[in-house]
Amino acid sequence: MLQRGSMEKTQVVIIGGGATGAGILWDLSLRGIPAILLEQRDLANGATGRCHGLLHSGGRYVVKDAHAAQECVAENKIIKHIAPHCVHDTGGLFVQCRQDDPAFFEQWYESCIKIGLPSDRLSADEALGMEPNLPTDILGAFTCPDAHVDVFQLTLSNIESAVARGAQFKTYCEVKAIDIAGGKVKGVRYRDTLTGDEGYIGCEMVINAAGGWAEKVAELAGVEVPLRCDKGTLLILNHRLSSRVINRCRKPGDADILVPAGPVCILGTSSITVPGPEGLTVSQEEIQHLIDLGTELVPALANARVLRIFSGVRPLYVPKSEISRGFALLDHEALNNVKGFISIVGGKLTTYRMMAQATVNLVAEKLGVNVPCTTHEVLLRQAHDEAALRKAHKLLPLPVVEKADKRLGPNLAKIVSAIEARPELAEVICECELVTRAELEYVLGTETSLPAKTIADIGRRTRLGFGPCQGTFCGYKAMLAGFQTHRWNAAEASAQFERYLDERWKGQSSINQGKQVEQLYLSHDLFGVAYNFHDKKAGEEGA
Amino acid sequence: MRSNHFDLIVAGAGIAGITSAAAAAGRGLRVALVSTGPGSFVLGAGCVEVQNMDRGMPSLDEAMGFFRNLTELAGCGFRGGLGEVRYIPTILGSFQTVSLAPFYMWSGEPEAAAQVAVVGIKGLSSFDSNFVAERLVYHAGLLGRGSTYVAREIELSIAEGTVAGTLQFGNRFDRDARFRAELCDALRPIAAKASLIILPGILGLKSGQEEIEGLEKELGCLLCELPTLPPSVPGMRLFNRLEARLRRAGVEFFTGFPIQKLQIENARCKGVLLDTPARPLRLSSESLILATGPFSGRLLGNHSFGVNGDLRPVDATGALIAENLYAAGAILRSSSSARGGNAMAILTGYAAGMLAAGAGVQYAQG
Repeated sequence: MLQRGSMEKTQVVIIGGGATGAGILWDLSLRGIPAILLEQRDLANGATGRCHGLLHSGGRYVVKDAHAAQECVAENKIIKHIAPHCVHDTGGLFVQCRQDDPAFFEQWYESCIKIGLPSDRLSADEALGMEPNLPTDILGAFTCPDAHVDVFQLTLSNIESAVARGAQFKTYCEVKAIDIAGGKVKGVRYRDTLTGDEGYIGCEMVINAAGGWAEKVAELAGVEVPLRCDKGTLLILNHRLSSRVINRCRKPGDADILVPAGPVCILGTSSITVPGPEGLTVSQEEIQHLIDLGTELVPALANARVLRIFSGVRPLYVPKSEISRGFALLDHEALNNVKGFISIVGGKLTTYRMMAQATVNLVAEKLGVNVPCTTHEVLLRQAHDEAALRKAHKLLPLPVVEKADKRLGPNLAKIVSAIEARPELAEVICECELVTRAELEYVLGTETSLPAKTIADIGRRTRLGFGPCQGTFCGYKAMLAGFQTHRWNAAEASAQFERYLDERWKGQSSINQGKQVEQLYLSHDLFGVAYNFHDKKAGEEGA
Repeated sequence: MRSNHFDLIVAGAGIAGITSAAAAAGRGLRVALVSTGPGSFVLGAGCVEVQNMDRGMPSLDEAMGFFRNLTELAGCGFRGGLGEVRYIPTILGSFQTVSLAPFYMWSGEPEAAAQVAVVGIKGLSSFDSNFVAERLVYHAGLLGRGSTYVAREIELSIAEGTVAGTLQFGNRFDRDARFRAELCDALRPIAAKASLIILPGILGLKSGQEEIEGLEKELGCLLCELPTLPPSVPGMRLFNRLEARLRRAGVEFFTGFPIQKLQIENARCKGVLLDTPARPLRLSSESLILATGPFSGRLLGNHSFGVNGDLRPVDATGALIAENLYAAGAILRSSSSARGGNAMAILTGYAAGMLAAGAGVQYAQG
């Protein structure tokens, strides 16, 4: 038999800790179905953590694919309602550039009205009044309810809420085998990639929500899930060039969306078919292409500082060379006679909840559970603790409290009591994202249901290291915090920090001009030469 | 009022700029040193790594000798020499291999079987003595050293309403005799059981040999200060001491203003325009040394240039950009290896300073 090592049991195993997998775990927990989620790296590490963070209004798809646009219209409202702490409701504009087809503008507006996407027509002056960084020769713009969503928070909130209802998850656990006997799923065997331990989970159903890795996972069950990996590259710029999401009003193309994301903004994307989700590289031509196009939309971008360049993979489902941005729910019992195996592929971040709902509807039907979906109305987080918030205002500067409150919600109370007990924990470790030592120790500790296992994990939980220094200073302090809280011994902490530097350096290595090159050089010089600690090398895979 | 015309303008106050200004001033030139700030000094402590340096380079010994003498006169004397290799600890618990280092780091490599105490300061979050000691034990083992490292912590008073920081401690070390006494008292019981104390860099931003060696004497124990994350107190101290020394030698400092442009006419550099408030300040000179670091190629109009055998920048065709213009330090880095940066800075800084002063120094190989 397959099992070896520890033996666990549950009803459903979800493979993949992106937004979709997390949404499925939450939905299952609300319907009382026991489940365990397995993620080979950290939560939100794949396409979820490597996208624009755009909560689509539907405007991007409205002309070409009314159905997808309608899904976005509905989900946009729902996400803003259930996860307000993850959404920065910036609003968006579709800008009419002089060089684009005017017929498309009208077509776009009419399509919006048809599907009920709320949009207002703005004159060029009005649009420039709202967004002075737009080109002065624009013809006008339309408004739309686009927003920025913190993809890490959104994923983590789904998991945290599910865990509070008894669900489980394991990060850094790679599924090695899916145990099938008599045409029926029996369980999965996994390996903890940090400890090397193996485990077996007995279950009735396995949901493949592995995104770009879904094809690989399906192979473990002996079935084919044809995917096409489409790489999108994005640029992070060091400050906000717009207050709203800026879209170019034309047929969807490269680099025509700029999303303000907290203190930075994100430009993207490209669309290039790649062999798989790993080992992505970015060429100088691709970067220049993005910057050139982005500059047409927002001229100030030409002089902005690029902090980081990263790529993600859209896993597009291609049954018969037919490509879709929609999602597909594959019941492998009906398709391949593998009972208990389901794949959910394709789709986009904005519709993750809808995908989870469709998946869990099928699971519930198969398991004979008769509880309807409620993820569209149950808030993803309890209200924050007003008393803790008042205390926090006395202990920490206002901007620090605002950020911590947004990230932590009700858990802010834990940070507050920690600082009350040990005032030195009020120290701000990451000065760009205003992360306190108390928050750092919280995510490294045992009190949180989402403990960080690596320094990069800390970043996904707190945004530490996401600013201009890219972890050069705060990453070192985070490493020491991990050592001081006995999360890691000195050797482990050093190894963690080396991996973290590689990952942070990798995202900056293809930037070839401007201040960030100097920043990277400083980091290389400090850790490579001054401290003789870790040399730069061509990083393989970003974590 | 003194005129704004100089024999030499040195641009950049890193190790290369400081060395060239000192060399030229020593040959009697009237020198202006223009900079935005203390250059790469804030990153470390000026240690010289030589293993990747081409020892066959003429004037290397001469340049190092000059630099040692300069630091000695500045009260921040460097120890070591080109043939030597020492393993000096870092805040990451690794060893840096250096040939020359300031006296307050040079003792960082302990005698065989020595008892070494790594001392942290309560509340100073950027330095962890337990982490450093544990890693040093490991790395010393790899090197086959028998020394033992133990972590200790001391508590120092902190100014009301502030957090512990190396700059605060450094400042108080300079100004406050009570703070120095407090530090000495805190270290005394540790010194009694150790032959070397390693501590984060806090021993003054301006202090010299007298103060630091005084502390060593009182403790009866060697001290080694480690540069912490920038700005590093030992590095700033080195800069401050060198600056004071150069001022005594007549060098005039124009600090805090970037260079707007070099004024080059008919293949001669007439001077620089500094980006000073209200209107640019023009300084003119007979010659100019560009020691402005690795990202300053724009001053020469483009990002790729070379230098000829006497450190004068040439364009793509090999023609001199200006006959009285020299380049030194990391601006040359594209053509040298990443390591040995400070050795390169001292060598090229010294050579450029001497060349600008009309002294015969051979920089090029062979």
